[in-house]
Amino acid sequence: MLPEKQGLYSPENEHDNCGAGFICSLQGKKTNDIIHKALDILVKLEHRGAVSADGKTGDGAGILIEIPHDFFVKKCDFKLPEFHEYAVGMVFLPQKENQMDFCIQTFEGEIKRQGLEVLGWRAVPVDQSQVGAIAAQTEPEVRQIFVGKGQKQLSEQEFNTKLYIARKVAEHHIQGSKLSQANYFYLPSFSTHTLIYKGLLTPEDINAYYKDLNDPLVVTRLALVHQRFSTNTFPTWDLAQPFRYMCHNGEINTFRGNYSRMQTREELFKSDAFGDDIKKILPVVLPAKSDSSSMDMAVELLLATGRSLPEVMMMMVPEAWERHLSMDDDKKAFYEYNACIMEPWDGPASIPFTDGKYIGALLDRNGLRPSRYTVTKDGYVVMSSEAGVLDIEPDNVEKHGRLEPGRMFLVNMDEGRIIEDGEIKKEIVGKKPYRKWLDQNLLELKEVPYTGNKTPVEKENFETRLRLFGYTQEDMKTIINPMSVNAKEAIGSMGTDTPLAVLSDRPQLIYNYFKQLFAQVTNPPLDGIREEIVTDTSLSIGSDHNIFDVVPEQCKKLRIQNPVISNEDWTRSNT
Amino acid sequence: MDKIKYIKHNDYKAVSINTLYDVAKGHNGLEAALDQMIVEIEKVVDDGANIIILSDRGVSPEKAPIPMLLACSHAHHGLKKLKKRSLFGIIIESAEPREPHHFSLLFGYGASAINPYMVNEIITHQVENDIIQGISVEKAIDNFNKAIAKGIVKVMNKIGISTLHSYRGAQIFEALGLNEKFIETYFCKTATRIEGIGLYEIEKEINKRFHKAYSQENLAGMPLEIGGDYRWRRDGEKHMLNPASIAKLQQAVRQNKFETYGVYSKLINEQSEKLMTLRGMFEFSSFDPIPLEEVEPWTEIVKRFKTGAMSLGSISAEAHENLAIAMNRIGAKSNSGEGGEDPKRFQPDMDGNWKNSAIKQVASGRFGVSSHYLSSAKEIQIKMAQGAKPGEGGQLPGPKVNPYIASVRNSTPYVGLISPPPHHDIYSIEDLAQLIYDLKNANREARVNVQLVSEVGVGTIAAGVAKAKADVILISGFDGGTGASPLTSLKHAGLPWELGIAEAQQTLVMNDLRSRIVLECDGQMKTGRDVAIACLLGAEEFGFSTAPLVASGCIMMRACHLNTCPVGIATQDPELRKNFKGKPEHVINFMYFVAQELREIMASLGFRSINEMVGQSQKLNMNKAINHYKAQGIDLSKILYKPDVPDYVDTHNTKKQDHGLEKVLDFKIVSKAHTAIYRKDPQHLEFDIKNTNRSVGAILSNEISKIHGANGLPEDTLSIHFKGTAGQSFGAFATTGLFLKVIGNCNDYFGKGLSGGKLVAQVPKEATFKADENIIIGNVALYGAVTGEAYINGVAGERFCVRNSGATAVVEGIGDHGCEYMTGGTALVIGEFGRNFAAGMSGGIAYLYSDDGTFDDKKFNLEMVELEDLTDKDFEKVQELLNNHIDYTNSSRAKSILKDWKENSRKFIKVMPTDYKRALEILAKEAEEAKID
Repeated sequence: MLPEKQGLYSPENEHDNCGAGFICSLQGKKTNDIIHKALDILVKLEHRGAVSADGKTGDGAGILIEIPHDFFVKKCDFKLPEFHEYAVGMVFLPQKENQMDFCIQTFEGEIKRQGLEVLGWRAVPVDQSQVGAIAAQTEPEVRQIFVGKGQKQLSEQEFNTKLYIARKVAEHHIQGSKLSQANYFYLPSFSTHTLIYKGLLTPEDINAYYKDLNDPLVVTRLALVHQRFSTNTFPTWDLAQPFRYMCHNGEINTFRGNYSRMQTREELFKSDAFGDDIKKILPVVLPAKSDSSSMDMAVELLLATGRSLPEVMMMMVPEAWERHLSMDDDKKAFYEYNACIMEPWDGPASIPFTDGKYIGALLDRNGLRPSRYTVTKDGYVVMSSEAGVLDIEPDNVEKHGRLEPGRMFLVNMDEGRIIEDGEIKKEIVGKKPYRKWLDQNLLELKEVPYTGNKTPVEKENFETRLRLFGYTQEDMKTIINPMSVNAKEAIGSMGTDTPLAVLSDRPQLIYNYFKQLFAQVTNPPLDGIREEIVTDTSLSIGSDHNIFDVVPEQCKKLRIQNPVISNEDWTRSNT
Repeated sequence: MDKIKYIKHNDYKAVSINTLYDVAKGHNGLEAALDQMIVEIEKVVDDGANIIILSDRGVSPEKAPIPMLLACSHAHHGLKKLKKRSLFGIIIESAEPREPHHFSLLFGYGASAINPYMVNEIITHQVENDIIQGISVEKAIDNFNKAIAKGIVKVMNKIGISTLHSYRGAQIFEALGLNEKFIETYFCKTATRIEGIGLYEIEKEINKRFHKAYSQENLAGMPLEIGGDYRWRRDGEKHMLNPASIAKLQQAVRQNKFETYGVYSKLINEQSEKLMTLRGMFEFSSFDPIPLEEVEPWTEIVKRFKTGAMSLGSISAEAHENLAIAMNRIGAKSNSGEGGEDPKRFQPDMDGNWKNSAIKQVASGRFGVSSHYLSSAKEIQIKMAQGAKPGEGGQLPGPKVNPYIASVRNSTPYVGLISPPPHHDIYSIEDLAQLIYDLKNANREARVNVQLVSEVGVGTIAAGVAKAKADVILISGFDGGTGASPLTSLKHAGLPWELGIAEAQQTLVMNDLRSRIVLECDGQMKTGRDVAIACLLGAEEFGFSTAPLVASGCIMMRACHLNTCPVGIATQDPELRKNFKGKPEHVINFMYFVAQELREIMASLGFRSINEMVGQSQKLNMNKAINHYKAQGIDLSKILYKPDVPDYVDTHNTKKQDHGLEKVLDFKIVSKAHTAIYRKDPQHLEFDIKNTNRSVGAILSNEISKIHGANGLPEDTLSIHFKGTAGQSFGAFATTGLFLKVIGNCNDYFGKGLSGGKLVAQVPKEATFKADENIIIGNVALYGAVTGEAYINGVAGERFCVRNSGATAVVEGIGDHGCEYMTGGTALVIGEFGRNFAAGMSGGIAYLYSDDGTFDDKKFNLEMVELEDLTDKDFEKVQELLNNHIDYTNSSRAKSILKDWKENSRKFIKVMPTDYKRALEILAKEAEEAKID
């Protein structure tokens, strides 16, 4: 757990970066060996993670695999339905028995309230000696819950929605209970397809800790692995990755804005599938989680709106389409339309994702993280932050590739092939007539006609107003003048040695009490001059709509190219 | 603006909300008006308005403006609390905003568009009164709006955000000097850590301005207040270094009089106590005096002193060398800055003066960073951010790059040099860990120092950096720095070091990482008292920049960026440089005085050594005598906080980092390569390689540089073949005489800082795939390469040859941003290339080839380059490179191009930087003239 806010320290400032990768069988062949290959990838990426002061506790590592149905059929002392007809939850629980019981009861209660059936629980065998001293302080009890569809006939989407609601409501309830170990309650995964084993471990120790992973019956056709490097040495089991649908290697710089905008969006949530339960799942993104964890929660929500996983990823991490001169118009329209709904979750990141059926990865618009992949002739696809993480003979290599900025690639194991960026996106952008919707709804400021009304001239004289708003000679000469003559800001040197605003005798504008924050180490500043193609200053104004709906009204917005606007809209204006 | 305000459209309804308050009712009036505003907005939104215009038009003797940022943020948060924020957008119509910082704040707190109507009026006024000449009002306003947009992009980019869309409402600011209650009410979730003023004082400030504007009718026609924030002016804002303090310091160091220094330090410290800085608000307490003799001698203390990073180029050679000589004499450390260093300085000269900078800086431009340069360091500093402009790059314009500066920076004379905003090999913390590892390999004896700038969260960053195995972490204050910087970055980015060093100390102690790290602090450090406070807050080493420059003669003209420095410090002008009067003794005297003052403070507090003193913040108190209407509310207790940790947790540096170098492949190579390294006899070796073998070649090059200097070994003396996949930074800083070939593939940072060696990446012959369609090396290859050659038998990732200064490279395909910021050397790309090619490329030449001989213009960034046809000389060069490529890699693509040379030679294009072309012409002319002479 992260410590409380104290002195100048605040847990909100924590960051993490990492190494990630996946391996899958192109033909969908399930083996236990894939797990070991995947863990081997992690060991080879160990230099991208970090170890705490005790020399043993890692910053967190984990693996996502398919649910090993046959293994569970053998191990569970209760009957399981057909594969994919039930969900498995990997559950972290409090160590203290009374609190554990409370969590179990609460969770089961919510599952039943959704009309689902708790089939049973299984204790996950672990080897506690593998845990470092720091990690051991907060090691949870790990169990698996098995949930059936109950009496009703449910489609997969309906079943998932109910699982999602049950988990969300239980989470909110338990977090709100003020139990001393409420924070222990966490579900790494709760799905009909995938299962996640993770913890505050070093890569070598994952399969030593989770003994299941060595059982030959635990087979999968895909494995997604992740290893974390965090800026602290505090033990946080729940922030180990992968998360439920994705993991990421990098940092979401826009996270504060995304988080705040998600909250605003919740005002308008409405969905038939959720009914009244929609209010109970709020807030969708839990406070004080890592950027990756939060992004995963937003992905979950968007999936619940019926969008597909690749579409969700395109919406949240769009290519730099704004200044892309040669992008296909349908694709541009898709991005432009979705920009009215969601702002980019932007920052250096390579994001492997999977829903158990597809596995893929996406790279940020700037291409700031490495993502290399290799396809072998014997049918494996290996993707990771580095090349060479598995020993592959040169004559077995079909292709060495890399993810390009803003690009996605996807493996369809049912069809046994890799779907390239162009093909995936073509299908998605063709689903709705986005361009038509935009033409009919999106309004550009320059197209707005004058109505003849004019702002009245100010009554107070110019000079009085200058003084009133605190203008100085320096403002006029050093600030405004150079900008209006040269179209750029003036330069100075030798630092600053004037008093802080709060210590100055002169009346200060409120702006002077605020300092800009900037990127260092965990994320890079960008070069908007030389890499202008990825920047954009346009904004749109107007009311938002329910995010569950993919309708033309979403793009009823007024768009302004440079949102610094003049008193008069000059003919050759900046709109 | 009127278009939106009076919009008539079915889908849009705009309503203006007035943001004025009854000035007679004081802060209650302000508070009431803010609350009333929320009620009004809610009402009109319920009535269907979806554009809310907040306007401070209509001021009058009764009505004063609510600070617009306050109104905007309150509207944003207030309606969010009512769960109606998603229904409308906010447009600002205000007289207030004039700097990019103001606009950024308004967007950051929820605005969607801003109309700065007062600035429009001012510009109109300036044009009409011929203050602005030669452009129309329309154009001038357009320019201003553009400048602001650029400024905002810069502010966004600083935090790594590329679209305003994601920046809006993100609140990426820290408040300094506003109390928590006020922030919680109006700026929810913004960090503020030292309390401070609230609505009452803010209203008082508005009132003050308001009354001044109205009551003094006789001001009509008089000039406005002078301002004086950016430069000292009589009657302007206070500055700590003003003519009086500058004169005293210079007198003291020139006459070597501690008494005169006492007068200076009293001037500074008292000013500081007259409330200009946070440290000014502290007082020492819990005195426990011991005799001065028991305190460690000044000669020990100054070993912890450093001068700041000022590059040769930003200051003159005379001033730069003067600092180095002085610091070396007393066992302290000077800093090379980011401009490289003349190798002649690495050894003491005939007079026994040693001009070598103990600290060698590695900044984003990587100018002059070679194996030999790194090998000469006692400490290597990674400049993550710079106090004056964190998160921004820099630029040295062409005319300033004279042949001497160009030679130490390994660049072409007269070609402008750009330092990118980011280090292109540090996009995240594990990348920094990798760079630290590279540098540690490049010089095992040197400490690696990572410079950070104070801001909220710098403590957690520092903890991450400690885990990434830095030896030293420097926390800089926002106010320091000597370099040129946009005005608003100078003032508005970053925080004082008092907060940064304390946060770093607290967080490192909480994580039990403090013992492995040396903490250093700098930023307007001027006296022994400043040092004492930094030490009590957690620092154990200390940096000075401005003060030693003043000791060397600087009179704070603040013209460093103009090349007109009258005292020969910040200039490259040969005439002005003759004015330099500084002596090493002056700098030494300054350091001695500071140490003495510090010793006196130590004695009074009862500390015998710095080690005893580090982090003992209980010896500080907030001065109770403060009686200032704004400062009274400040609470510094968070700065003085000491985390509760077990006794075994050390609170100062007690041990060294374990860099884990023992497993490095280079040691195996070195042990087998004695013949080549010592006797210069040719040798061939073979090894297997894995991705966990990182920075291969760096230690090897360090060993060679130590023995043979920059010249290394004769060409191809030591040839090594590796089989497998090379880890990151293959061939980093590889020096002359090395020939390193990977048969397999490589990861990121291939050939980083290449220093004369030859690197080859070749597809194994068993492979069946086509080389030019498969990736073989990673991103950011040949970053900062100084000289050498690279042949790559496949495709490279993003940012190939970024900031290459002189290496020659052949590659069969590359990703986006190829040859970015390149300043010299040659790149030949015989395959596909990505978008934004040649962005910021000021030097060197690139040749591109396409199968059909056509090139898509949209893929180039043509701001600094031209596309040309090849000349005969170029064709010769290309042929030679292709032949080399075949020799080294057996490339089938190169073969097929050469096979039908006559036809294929037409399919090349040459990318030529305009700056470079001009420079080559000047150089040719100079060479011509030299011949005549």
